[in-house]
Amino acid sequence: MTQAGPTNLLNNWMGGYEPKSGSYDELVDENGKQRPHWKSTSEHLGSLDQTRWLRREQQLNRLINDNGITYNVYDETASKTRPWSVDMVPLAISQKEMTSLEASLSQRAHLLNLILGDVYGRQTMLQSSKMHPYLVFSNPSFLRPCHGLLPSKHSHIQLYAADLVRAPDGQWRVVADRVEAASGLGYALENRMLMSRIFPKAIWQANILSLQPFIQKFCQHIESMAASSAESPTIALLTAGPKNESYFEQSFLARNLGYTLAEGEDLTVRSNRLYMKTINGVQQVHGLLRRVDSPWIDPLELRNESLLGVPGIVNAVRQRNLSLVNALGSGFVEAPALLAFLPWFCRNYLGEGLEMPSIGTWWCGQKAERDYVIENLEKLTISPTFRKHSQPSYYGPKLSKTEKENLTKQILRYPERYCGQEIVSQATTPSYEDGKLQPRNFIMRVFLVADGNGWKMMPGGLVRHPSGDDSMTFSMQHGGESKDVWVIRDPALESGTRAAAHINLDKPIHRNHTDLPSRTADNMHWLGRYIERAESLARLLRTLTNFLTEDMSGESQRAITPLLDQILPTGESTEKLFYPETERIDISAAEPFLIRALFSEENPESLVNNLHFVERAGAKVKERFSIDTWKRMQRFRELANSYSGRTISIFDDEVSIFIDDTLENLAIFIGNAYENMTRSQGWSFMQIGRRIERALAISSLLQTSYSLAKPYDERLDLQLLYWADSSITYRRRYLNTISSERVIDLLCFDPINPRSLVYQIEKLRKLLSTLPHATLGPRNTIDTLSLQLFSRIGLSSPEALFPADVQLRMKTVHEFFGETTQNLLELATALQRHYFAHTIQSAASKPTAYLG
Amino acid sequence: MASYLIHHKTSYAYRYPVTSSHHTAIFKPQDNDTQSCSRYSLDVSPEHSDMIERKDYFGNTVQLFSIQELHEKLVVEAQSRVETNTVPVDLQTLNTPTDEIRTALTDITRTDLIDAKEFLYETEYTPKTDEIIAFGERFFGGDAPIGPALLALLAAFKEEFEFDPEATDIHTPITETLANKRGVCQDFAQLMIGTLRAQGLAACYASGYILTMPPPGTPRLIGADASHAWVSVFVPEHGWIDVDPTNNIVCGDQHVTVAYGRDFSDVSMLSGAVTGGGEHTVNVEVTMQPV
Repeated sequence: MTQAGPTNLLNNWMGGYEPKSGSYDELVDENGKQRPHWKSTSEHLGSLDQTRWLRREQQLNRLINDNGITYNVYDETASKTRPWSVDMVPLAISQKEMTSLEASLSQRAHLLNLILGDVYGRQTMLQSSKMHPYLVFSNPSFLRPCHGLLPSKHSHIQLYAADLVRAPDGQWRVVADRVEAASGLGYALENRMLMSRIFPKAIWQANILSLQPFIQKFCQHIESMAASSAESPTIALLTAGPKNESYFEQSFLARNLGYTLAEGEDLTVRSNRLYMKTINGVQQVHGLLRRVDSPWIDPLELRNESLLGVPGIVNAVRQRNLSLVNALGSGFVEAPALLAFLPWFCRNYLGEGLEMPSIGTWWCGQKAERDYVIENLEKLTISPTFRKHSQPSYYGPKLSKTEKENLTKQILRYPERYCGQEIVSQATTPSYEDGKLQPRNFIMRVFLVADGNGWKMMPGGLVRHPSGDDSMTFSMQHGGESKDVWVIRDPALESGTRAAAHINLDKPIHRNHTDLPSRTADNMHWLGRYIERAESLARLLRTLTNFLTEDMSGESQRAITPLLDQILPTGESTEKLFYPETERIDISAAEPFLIRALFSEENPESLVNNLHFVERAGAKVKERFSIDTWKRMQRFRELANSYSGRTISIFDDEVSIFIDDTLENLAIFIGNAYENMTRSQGWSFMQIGRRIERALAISSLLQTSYSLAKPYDERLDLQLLYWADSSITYRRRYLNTISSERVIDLLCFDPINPRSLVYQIEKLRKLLSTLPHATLGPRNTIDTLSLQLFSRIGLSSPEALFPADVQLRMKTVHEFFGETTQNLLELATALQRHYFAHTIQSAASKPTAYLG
Repeated sequence: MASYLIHHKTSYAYRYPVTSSHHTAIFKPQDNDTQSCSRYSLDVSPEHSDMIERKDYFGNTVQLFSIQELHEKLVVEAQSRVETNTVPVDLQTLNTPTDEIRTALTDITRTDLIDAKEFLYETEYTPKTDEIIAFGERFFGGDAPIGPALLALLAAFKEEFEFDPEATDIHTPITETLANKRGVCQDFAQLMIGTLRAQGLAACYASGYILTMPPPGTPRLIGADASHAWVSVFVPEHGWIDVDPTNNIVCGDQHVTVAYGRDFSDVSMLSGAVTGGGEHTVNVEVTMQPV
């Protein structure tokens, strides 16, 4: 390893950089000279000294971590989300090269579009003896129900992505075409955002082309395609949901394009039109940017086991009430074996040669090609004919003799299932590793959008370094690093907007207002409830552990029973926790219950599980939160994961550390949300959830505390004040004289105490009055319940709750809080019915069987 | 020559109310050289909306409709009158060597056979596996004359397989049917199709009805019939020939065809996607009455 000295990287920029012989290198030419278009990039990055470079590296990692940029599967049971990895050194491409790529890839995109038009239309390709029918009829992405569907403007492909490698001769080759639901655009934008944060000056001065004009073009184009005469059609981005590997990217992209992120459940088809289910009722959607593969988009006409789609959507397209980007069934042209036929298609449809070649591909369904593949097995990758996740690719050079024999046998028996693909010795580009530049292989994904009759390429892209040398697949799943692509502006070429020093991609380029989807409202509501539930429980546990671990020799511990009661499983009695005939709690008997309430994985009401609920509810509405707010979610998961299942003693410091950490992070989350969230309907639903839950907690605890027959002592009052974080207020007002009437006044009737019951009810009433139901139609159950809650507490007082007669007091307290709790629960149900009811999932009904 | 009145009633009962549902129905008998449908109606309760009738990719009539009102029950009734005039093909004398058919179908220059080639390849429900290939080699090896080979395969279904509605469901793979030798018409039809395709022959799935005979002296029971599935196999120079592996017969006037597809999933008579509803039960009554 080279020891990096105090010198600038520039002095040492190329020092020790030795590209492999036999492959093309992006930075240096065959004479070891830096290629001219790298000049500005090298100067700017190379001018940073080691300290500044390291600081930027730390900043980059922090940004990735803070932004929660991830690409893996969101797994409910384990934390499998891997952080995104970006190299500090971008790939520099000259504008001239980009322009030439744009030209040749435009021809390719046009060609793929024509192939789709033919296969879903007249099928002239099948009349030719050059095109094997197997490649059409057996292609799992040839969706027969979509045959004859005319896409808007006859254009199947709006967004085209190609994975490119550069061969030793310097020529680019396409490894794969991506049109079904191309991922990566969001990550490319994200990488540019990161680079512009850590290298603002370089981005500005190195003359790098901006990505913004492309994004604007993309939006304009999608809107022009939408099946609507409206001036601003409604567009949504259809996602497969938080469990999808690139959900982060999808929500990032939706935010940046200004489109609503929708899951199948948010949408419904009525009268052959697509609608979004919102809390204001249904709203028509005219265009859908889909990240769900075609076969899964309609359980009615396509794969009926799909839970990701919307029943009837194919028919909405058929009736020309909806346009999809890309058109349904576009995945047909992604089949690896088709690469072998593209030159023929090109001559046949366009009467010209294919400008952008693919990697060499031989389909084994043909005799001569099959023989070639079998003879050259050790020099090829053997891929499935069609793109299938279930069928692996085999890397020839690494196959053992037996594996080769078995594969040969399979190819001979099922030749049509395989194709052989050339292994290109990939070009290298510098990557920052161990304090210096190292040559690394790479694959580049580029994006083109249809533009009138032509295509525009994004001046940038997404580079990935494959995890092993043998991989030519552009996969997020197999790890590896990514990098930004800088297209260096050429003054000789007139077009191209220079990138700004700071691009704020968080700011939507244009706004496409849609109402809040019901599912989101539902999730926001539950997020609010879980947050408050976690907080209230953490406070309760803090009060209990403090009380029980305090040395109070001789004093009665009876006062704590109402609080202890809250965490015991149903059927358990606090009585058993006392030493017989004493006022003292047996810690060894009580401790397991506390541990259960804190850390148990099995107890759904434990604090760790509550934190999991918070995090999961949050993950479903991730796109609603600012980055800083979202950071807390990560922290909740870390906390829950590290404490889950623990069995430490309640005397251990770690218990209070866990509780304090939890409360602190909850407070930061709430504070951040207050500062950063727009006061939209989503906000209201979260706040409603919080207020309902807090009111429920207060009501329940006051009910058990003050409806006891036994005279209660002031220790209980003190614990309640401590739980409700109101001790200071109380002392300021009343010094050290404790009275239950005053405590209940503060915790129940004080309108300025944010932890009083009346405060929650007043807030609730205000929030409810902003919801859509309040402005239309007659009074609804929600309003009635709100009014009941409000008037009950408004007409009561500490004196009324605490009459002198013990029996009467017990009854009054019991009824007052019992009815309040009842109303709160009814209110939650009424909200569910009114606003979230249509979040029910659709499922296929049993097809009738043939029983003949 | 025969005429029938066919009444096909499907009733769904849901545990919870359904808020909306979408359905596709493929009930309308075909009009072709050997059969004509003179009357057809589809009744849906509760009131449906957005009914659309279209021809699918295979030329079958598909009706799509949705129900947007709250319901706990759905009844779909298809009624038709059909005249058939099918003379069963004499397979005994159909002596084209299997190899000749295989060669024609795999010949890339025979673009005139493209419609048959659609049904030449495996599908999700008719996969090609070593076992399926081995099963077919018993009948269609080398120059075996196609007619007698088909008859032998039909006879094998009769002799080696048992009709057993309890053994399978609509998603049972054909490899399982082959291993357990049990199933219903759909299993036998798909196994036979998979077997023929693995042998390089073109075959499709036929969906429809068959006339059943009540035991002598007993009256025809209303609703006791069922939808039926069989196989259509392609022989160049002759065309498509329908055979019924469940009943070991070459199809004739007793079969009424509704739809052809690559497998069950293309022609399912009634399918749907519902929102809400929970668990549901489905009851089917079919009556095929000669007139």
